[in-house]
Amino acid sequence: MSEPVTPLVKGLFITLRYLFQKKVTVQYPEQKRTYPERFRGRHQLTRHADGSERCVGCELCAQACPSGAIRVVAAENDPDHPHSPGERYGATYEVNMIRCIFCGFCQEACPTGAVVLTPFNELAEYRRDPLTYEKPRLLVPRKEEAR
Amino acid sequence: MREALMAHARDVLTRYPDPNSAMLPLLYLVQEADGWVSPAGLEEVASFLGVAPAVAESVASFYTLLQKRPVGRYVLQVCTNLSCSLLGAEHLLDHLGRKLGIGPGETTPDGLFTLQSVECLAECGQAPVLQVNLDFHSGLTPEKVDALLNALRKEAEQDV
Amino acid sequence: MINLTIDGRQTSVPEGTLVLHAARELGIDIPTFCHHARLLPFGACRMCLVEIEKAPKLQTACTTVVSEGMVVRTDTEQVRLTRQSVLEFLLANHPLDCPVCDKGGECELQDLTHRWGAPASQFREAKNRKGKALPFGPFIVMDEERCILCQRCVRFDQEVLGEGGIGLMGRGFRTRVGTFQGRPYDTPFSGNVVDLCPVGALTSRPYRFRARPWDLTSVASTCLHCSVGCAARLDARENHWVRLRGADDPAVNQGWLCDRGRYGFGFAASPERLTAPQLRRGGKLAATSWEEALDRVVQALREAGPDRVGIIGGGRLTDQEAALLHHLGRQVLGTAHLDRRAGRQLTATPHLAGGTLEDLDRAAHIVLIGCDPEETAPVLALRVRQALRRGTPVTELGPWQTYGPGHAWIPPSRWLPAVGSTATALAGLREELAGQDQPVVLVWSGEDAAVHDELARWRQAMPGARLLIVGDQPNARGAEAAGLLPGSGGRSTPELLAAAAAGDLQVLYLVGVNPALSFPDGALVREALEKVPFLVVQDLFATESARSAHALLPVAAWSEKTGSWSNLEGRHRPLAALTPAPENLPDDGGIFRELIRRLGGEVSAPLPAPAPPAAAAAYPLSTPPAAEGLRVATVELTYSGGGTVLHAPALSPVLPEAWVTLHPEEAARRDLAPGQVVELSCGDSRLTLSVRTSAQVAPGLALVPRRLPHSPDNLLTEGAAVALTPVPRKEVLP
Repeated sequence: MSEPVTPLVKGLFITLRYLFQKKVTVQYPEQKRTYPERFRGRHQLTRHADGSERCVGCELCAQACPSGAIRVVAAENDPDHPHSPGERYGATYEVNMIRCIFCGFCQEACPTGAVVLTPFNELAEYRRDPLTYEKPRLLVPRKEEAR
Repeated sequence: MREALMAHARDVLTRYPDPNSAMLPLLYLVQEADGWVSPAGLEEVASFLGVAPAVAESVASFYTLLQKRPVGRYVLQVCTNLSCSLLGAEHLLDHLGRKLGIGPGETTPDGLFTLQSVECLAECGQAPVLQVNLDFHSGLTPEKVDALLNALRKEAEQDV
Repeated sequence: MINLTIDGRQTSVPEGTLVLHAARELGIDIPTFCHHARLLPFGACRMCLVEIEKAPKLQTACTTVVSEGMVVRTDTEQVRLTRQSVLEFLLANHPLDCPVCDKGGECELQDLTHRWGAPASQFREAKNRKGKALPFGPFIVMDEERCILCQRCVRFDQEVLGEGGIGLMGRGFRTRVGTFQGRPYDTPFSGNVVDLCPVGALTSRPYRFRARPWDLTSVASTCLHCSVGCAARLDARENHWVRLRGADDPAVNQGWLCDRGRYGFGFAASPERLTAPQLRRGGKLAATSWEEALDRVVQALREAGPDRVGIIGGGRLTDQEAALLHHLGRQVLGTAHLDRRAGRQLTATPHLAGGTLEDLDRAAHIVLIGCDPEETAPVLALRVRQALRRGTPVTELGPWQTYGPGHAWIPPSRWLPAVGSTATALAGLREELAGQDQPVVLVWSGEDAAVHDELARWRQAMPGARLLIVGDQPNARGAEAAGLLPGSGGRSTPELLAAAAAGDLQVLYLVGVNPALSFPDGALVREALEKVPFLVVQDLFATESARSAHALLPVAAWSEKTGSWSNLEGRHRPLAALTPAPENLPDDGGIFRELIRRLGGEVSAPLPAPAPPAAAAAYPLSTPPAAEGLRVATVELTYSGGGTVLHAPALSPVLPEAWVTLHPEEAARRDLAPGQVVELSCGDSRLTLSVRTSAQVAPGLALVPRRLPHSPDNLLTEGAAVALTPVPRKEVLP
């Protein structure tokens, strides 16, 4: 065979080989991929084993955030009904998912392991405002509430 | 300030060029009269010297010979500083606590003994050391302490 | 000059300089904790240890004075390791709870640990536990675990305040900073210990967990609560004012603030603040547009004509706004009836040599005339306290004594002819001090015309005399310089109010004043405000004076505008906007500009210079007839007043109760005990007050606090006889 044909045949052969291999695409949203555990998706505010909030409102996540997507306002715990162990808790916690680049720096900065990035990544909305996630949506429900 | 004390206090004051230097002697005067240095006593001394009561409390709280709470007849102060601790002061304190049924800082229900752990009593060469009111007892062992307690009990009984 | 070598660099510094300062002058940084520029050398923290040749051990740079030929090394391995070990010890029991600590991010311990500390501690033992989040007075929270025992707070309390309210309690690792028996730390300067604390042990309750340092936008400005003009740093988070801290202006406040200034900022965010202009329609005030409100005011001003318009106020404006108000009144409206005064103060501008705050440090004698600087100008009072401790004689002339027994007190009053008037006493003092060429500083409240005349004689008798007038309005002096005093033929505030009460005034325009609370003749001011056909009130809040207003114009607060003002020394004080004003709120100057434009005037820059003000003493206040028995005297308190103090939530725990203070003998004669509730009656007026006794009040006087909204002292006529009747305790139902 003449010179110009060989690469073409080689190429077509590769295509042919892939045709009989397992497909890499999935039929989203009917089919969903499972993500690795350490995938960085939507944030979550976690709780201690006793059900108290881990977040102490230190704002280190907001400071670490390269895109300024996090806003935290702390407040003092009512000693009779504390949100978190200690004197301080995060009264307001907002993540702007439009700004967020899912780098995970917030998780790294958190001294109490309160904010973690979950594999959940279906964040699309028709409007902008629901994309600012506030504390009630971010905080893991208490076990009894979940039930 | 009470009259007799007052006279004594005025006399004490004449010995020092700076009236504030009379703080410790005056606190001892109050302790001698009342058995301890009460908040009221601190205020008395402070107003006598023209300083704030917090200054008097600051001084009184530093010295273990000044009692900031009512105490028993015998105050047993066990040194728990370095030398004494190395030679078993902590065990001595535990032993005394068990014997008397009280912890450090507490007074027996009969009002006879108060147990305290204090900082260095300046007798490291003879450690461990214990002070009963103003009397010194050094080179102690649990046995010696038991003997001491018995002697003190006897002394108290004889006085009654 | 002393020659020495630091890190191989030659330098020469004046004798007595500390090694630390000599090094810092060369740009060599030596870390410190306990050292503070405004406190005496102490040497508690050991952070500043340096090598000095021929000294057997390392020396503290903050207490070692330089000597000739000294060779200092700060950059050796031994010094570095020492700093590391000192920090390791300081952190041995430190909780390291930086994420929840208000100081985190601006903490000296944190910064120096990052710079000099070891990567890890060798201590494996459990940390010593102490008290957390303990209340330490009305404004402060104490965390004993974070304390590094540098004693800055203790030393401030002793050296600057001279109070001794805080001390180190206990010994060894149990040592903690505390007050006597844990009682609240209740000095009016308590907030300064928060600024001084190099760690997060002492933090402010109003700022607690409100922000982290990196959230804040800050401006350098001044506190506009009183006439001292303390330099301050204002911090805002997300356009909310969250903190005010002292800044060090050596000539004014040296970094210190009083608690009123520090914690009185909440008014700016108060929900009570007026947000829209209001006009009276059918007997009721209703919100309206600026367009309509200003039209209505302009219409009223036009209809009235220059002679039937009066303007009161200006002492809370900036200098620039005061000039605009003067222009509006004198040139555009053509009225001479302008007066910045709304209370008892006649003048804020000294006619004899105006002193400076620093004169108090040099004074050979200080005379306080009818004035309690502790209450009305607290940071000025700190200099008086310093003078007292240096042994400077302080003479007080007034119905009560501030500085306790042991200092000169002449208890005169206009109201006690038997003792002699203040002016007579002052004349006596003048003769006593005459001929002396030592500087004498007089601090006066600016009240009492007789004192004003007497002070004129001091100028001739004593060239060294200096006068400081502590005003009731922060920028009273700037307002007077701008010409906000009656022009020739103009009516003063009492005359304006009398004219209004008599129906001779058409429009009364109140600018940032509340005469209903501050004017001494309560009956007159109430009648005047009630009767005047058109009352314009321009203020932050609907004050007592605004109740019968026809037009209410809300304005921006002082933290929302930029300009300058003049303190009691006449010193230029800058004002910088921290936050934008709430939507739709102009500043006072904006309103004046708009009124000038609508009235057909022009704002040309520069504005024409104000006419020299008429003699300040022309301020007729009624004098009561001579009477027997107890007479009323009034006293200004730090937390007196309606507006900004009342609406600052942080101040609510310290707002004063209504009380009457009697000399113990007077109380005994009437069989009254402290704490007892009495009804104080004077003519037709009655006030219910609780009795206090103090030997520091002149016998024959019933001392009542001024300007309390819940108990207005101006219902009583100062100097008039009063009767005290005990009020039986009401049966409280369970």
